[in-house]
Amino acid sequence: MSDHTASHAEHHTHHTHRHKSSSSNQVLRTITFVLTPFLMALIFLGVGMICVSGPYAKYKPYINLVFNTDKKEDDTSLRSINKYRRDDAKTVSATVTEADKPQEEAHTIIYPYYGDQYGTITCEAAGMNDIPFYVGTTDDVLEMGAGWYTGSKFVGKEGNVVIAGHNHTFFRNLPNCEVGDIVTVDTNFCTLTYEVTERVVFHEKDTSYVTPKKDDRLTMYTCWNNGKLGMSEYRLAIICKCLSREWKEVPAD
Amino acid sequence: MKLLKILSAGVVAAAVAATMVFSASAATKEDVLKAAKDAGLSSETTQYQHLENFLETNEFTSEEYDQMIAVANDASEKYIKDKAAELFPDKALSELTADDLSQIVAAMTAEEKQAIRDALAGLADDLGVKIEIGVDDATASKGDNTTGGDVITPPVADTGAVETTNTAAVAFVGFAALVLASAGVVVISKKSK
Repeated sequence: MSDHTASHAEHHTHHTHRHKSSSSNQVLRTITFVLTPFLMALIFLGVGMICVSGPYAKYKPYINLVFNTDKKEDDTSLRSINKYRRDDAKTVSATVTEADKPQEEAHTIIYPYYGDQYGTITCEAAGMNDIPFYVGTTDDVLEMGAGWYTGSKFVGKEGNVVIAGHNHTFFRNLPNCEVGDIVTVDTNFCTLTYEVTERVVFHEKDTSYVTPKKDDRLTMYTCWNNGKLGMSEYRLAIICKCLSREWKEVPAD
Repeated sequence: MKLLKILSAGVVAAAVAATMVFSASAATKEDVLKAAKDAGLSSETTQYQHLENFLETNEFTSEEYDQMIAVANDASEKYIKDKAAELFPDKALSELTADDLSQIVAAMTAEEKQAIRDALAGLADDLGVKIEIGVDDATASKGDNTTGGDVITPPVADTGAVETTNTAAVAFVGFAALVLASAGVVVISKKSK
């Protein structure tokens, strides 16, 4: 009897143990079946993100162009037009007579504030129409338009006027400029007409194209990545000679 | 007659002397630019152009121009002239190129560079010019508003698409997901044994 009881007890225990084991296995299997697809998806996602992060950097400018994700909020302080000057800042100008052309009438040059829109650039042959350019080449200014380099001649003065622009926004058509194309720079005090004379690719550490020159020229440049968008150590410069200057009447401030 | 001639000569001499004194104090921005060039700052440099643009957009009195000239001459006499004579004996200071000036500045001691900075800072204080130096630019302005001639930026700007830290974040999130998933697989496989 006791053997039977012991055997029964043992069988019951074994059965209970087997039942318990079956239950926990069942739970584990359920968890595994449910979790495995998610874990697989997570693994694929992780591998995919690591693989995509490189090309993402390369194609982000294109994505931004399509979805226009770089918008910024407007400043609504006292400097609502331009953060570099008060809204009531007076116009800075000078009356100039060219030293070697005394027979010409005196004309007015306006010296803009940093961050002001300086004028527009047009090169119809390259598909650049009324591209706005501002004063300065810091990141915030280049987001608004092309930028006049403050270490170059003021527009209207004889010498090297240097204007830079991003290759994925305002100067994306600059590489289309060819020798012989006509470029017009228009401001509220003069209109200058230039002709493209040279296309040059230079390294960013080579400052020789942006330094003062004795001749009267316009130098426009943008990042050069062999025709593709994105950052580069190289710049494409379009150098133009000045053909004519037309002064405008500037009303008193 | 002879007395009249002597008196006339004296009057003319006095007039000329008075004119010279008057001219010496009526310095202009062109005089400042010439002084800078004579001190070794080549007119073919962007630094010279920055100076020219600054002077065109900010008004100063002739006495203040005189002050600028004095500082330029002093810096040239103390820190540039001898080094220029040593490195470029065949060139006048006004003939130095931007590269030449870079070599001269590179040959200066830290104390000499600091002395020039202090002199410029002192001059700015006297002229009421506020100088602010940022990461990529410097501003020298006289009032509340910043003119186009007030800002110095690197000669060649970054004009490609601006990269952000999003790419690093994407890679990090991807890596973290991979680690978590791998840990999950290991845990489950151990439990299954």
